[in-house]
Amino acid sequence: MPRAVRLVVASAAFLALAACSSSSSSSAACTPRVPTDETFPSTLAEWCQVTLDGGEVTALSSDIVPFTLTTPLYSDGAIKRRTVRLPPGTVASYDDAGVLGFPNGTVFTKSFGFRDDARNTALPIHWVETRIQWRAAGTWNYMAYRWNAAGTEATALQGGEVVPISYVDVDGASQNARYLVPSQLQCEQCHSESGPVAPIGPKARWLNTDYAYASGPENQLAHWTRIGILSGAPDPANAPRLPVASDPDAGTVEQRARSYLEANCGFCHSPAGNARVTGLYLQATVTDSIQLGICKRPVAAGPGAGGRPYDVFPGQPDASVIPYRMSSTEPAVAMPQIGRSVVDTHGVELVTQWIQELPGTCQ
Amino acid sequence: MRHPLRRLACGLVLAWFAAACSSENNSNNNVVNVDPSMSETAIASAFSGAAANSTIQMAAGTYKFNNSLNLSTKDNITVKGAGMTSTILDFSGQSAGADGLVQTIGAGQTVKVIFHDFSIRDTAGDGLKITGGTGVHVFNVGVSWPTRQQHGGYGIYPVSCKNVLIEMSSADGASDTGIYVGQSDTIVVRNNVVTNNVSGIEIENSFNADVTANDSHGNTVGFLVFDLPSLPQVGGHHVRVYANQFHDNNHYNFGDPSGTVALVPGGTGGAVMANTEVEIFNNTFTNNQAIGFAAISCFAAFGGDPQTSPCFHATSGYNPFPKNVNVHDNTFTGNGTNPLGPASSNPDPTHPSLALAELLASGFPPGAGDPGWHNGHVSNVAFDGIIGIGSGSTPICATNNGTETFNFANLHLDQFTPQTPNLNAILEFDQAQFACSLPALSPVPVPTF
Repeated sequence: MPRAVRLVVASAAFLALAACSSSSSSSAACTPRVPTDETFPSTLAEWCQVTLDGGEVTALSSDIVPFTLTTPLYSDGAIKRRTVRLPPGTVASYDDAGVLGFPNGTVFTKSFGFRDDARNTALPIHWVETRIQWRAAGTWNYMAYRWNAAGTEATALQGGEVVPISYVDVDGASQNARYLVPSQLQCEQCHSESGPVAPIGPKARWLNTDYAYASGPENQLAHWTRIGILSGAPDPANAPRLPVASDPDAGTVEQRARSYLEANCGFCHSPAGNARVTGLYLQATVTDSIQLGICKRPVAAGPGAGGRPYDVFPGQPDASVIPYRMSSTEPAVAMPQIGRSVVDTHGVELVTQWIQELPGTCQ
Repeated sequence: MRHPLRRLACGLVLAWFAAACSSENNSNNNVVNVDPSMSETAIASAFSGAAANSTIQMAAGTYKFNNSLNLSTKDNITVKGAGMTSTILDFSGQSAGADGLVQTIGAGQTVKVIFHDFSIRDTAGDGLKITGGTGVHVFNVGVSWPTRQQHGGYGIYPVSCKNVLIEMSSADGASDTGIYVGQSDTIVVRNNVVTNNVSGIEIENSFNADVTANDSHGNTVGFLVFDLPSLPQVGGHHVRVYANQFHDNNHYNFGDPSGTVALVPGGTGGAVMANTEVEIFNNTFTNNQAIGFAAISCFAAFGGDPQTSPCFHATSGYNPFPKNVNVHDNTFTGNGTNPLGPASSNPDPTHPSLALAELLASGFPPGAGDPGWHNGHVSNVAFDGIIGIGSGSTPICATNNGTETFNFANLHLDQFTPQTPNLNAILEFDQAQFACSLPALSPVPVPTF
């Protein structure tokens, strides 16, 4: 079984169990917050959506739904746990292409943590932060809550923080991350794929995969439909899906590379996103070769281009800017611009292989 | 005077509750005080949570940042220091985020912003970057790289903005451009000093710009007005460059080899590429060793191979030729004395800027009796000679730029072949053909704030 799939199952088991346990957490008696404006409480506990229990992220109400994405953003190798809660009685509307239509009062959580040695899943996870994304009065809002060392309280950190984290990665390599807890505006910097700030992950093509719920594995779109928080979704077989980039059995190199590039680059590199001025668009739906970077000269990359003539030079990854920037941890060179201080070697290998196999040439 | 502890307490309160506080205070003159004793995260909170119509007042002192500093995208925020040499934002220890002070405004929003009286130093990437502003005023702002070895790309960098006014500011040492305005509309850049950058000032893929009364020296090239293919906004037009000083721009080109500015030979006073309606007048071009001014097409920069040149694979609406570039009444002194001079000091002997420098030198070999080398220097004004068929406009008019013969050269790159790369054999001094007149461009309305 591919490693990525195993991880999804493992994380699902934790969250699903947590959702059922109500005895051990001191905050379990609270009622989840349904936000109505952009203000935010100073502690995560006041949201009453997730807490840490036995070293795992624990949902505090049975209507809080854990979920996963086929290909997540790489965040220095952090372990991630995601939940969503819609206000009771409300439903998200299905969208084939964009973010699902979540109602006001929807609250997402995404928690980030590390094991000292990622190869040993028996080790405890040091949780760094839990980010909240909520919709109120038609607008999405963002705040990161930083966990204290004991994991007993997380407090709002509007200004962000660079956190040094040393760990051994899944390949056994020692990493020294300058992990970024984003400032509120750094959240928005990435969450603007289509212009106004909005979620990135919860689209049909990322959600269309199984999750190991307490009730057993089930496709997430089907599950959300069955429990009544999603309307209008087709049978999962007829919904779009981007493959698990890290799973060689999930698709061709091109399909998986394009999935990876959308997940890790497309939120900025889109026609309305924050890198819109570059003209380089990396969403999986892009077909124009220049927009995809093929034989496109870097424009305003400065030292970030590394002397390479084209963003993507077919057959010549060493002459292509994209793998160069993916392979760097220099702040002025590294892409994405924020949120990555460790090289995702598997991502680099995949994109490199895609470029290597691309037909044609530039000169 | 307020007690310093009180000020600190206020800062801490802001760190946690800025959003709650700010949403209740929508009046003008809502001042948020920031001082160097505050933690980076508290300062970032103040910038992040700033409400509409507020002023972030940065007390004098040096502020150390490890992370990019992102500014709220609420309307009408002012970031104000105590003076360009008093309030210093020091990013020499930056380990996260590429740029220094950043404001990224979503497409379609209406957001005005004002920055003044501070300096930004040693950012990993760009210094001050504003994306998507609809009113951007930058004055008395300095960006430089005094200690960082690898300098960031741009100093002051508004992109995809409307109504931009940059004045009384400085940029020193950018590895691309000191003051760069890209894909924007209605721009005034005046009274700035730009030094030791690859490009001093650049107006790129932009509409309606006035560049005036600037002092640009010590750069690789004094100014650029470029229109590049394959960008969301193409069709740069209506740019006036007047009453500036472009002198001693003889730095070897240290731009990243794959960047567009890396093509420009060191020692260039200024250049226009592929723009429409550019009026260059009343400037002084002094002691720029390669050439005073050149107007070129996209092909001169990126080549003319139909299979590979980006000039052929451009965004719809892109025109690769210079059109109606009107160069008149400028004063040229001591330019073009050594087109390979700056290149000879480049520590990278294969830097792309060498190609055009060598090409230029091949047209103007020094030596008595050589027809290309007149009055001891390269022609003050040059045109690449590549003309679009049926363009309906003149590429360039050059008049009153000095009285000497051979003031103007048509490099005739249309006749250039790799087999005969000697420009001397093909260039022409057909000044009369381009001694045309064009109507003056209208002044760009100065944005008001």
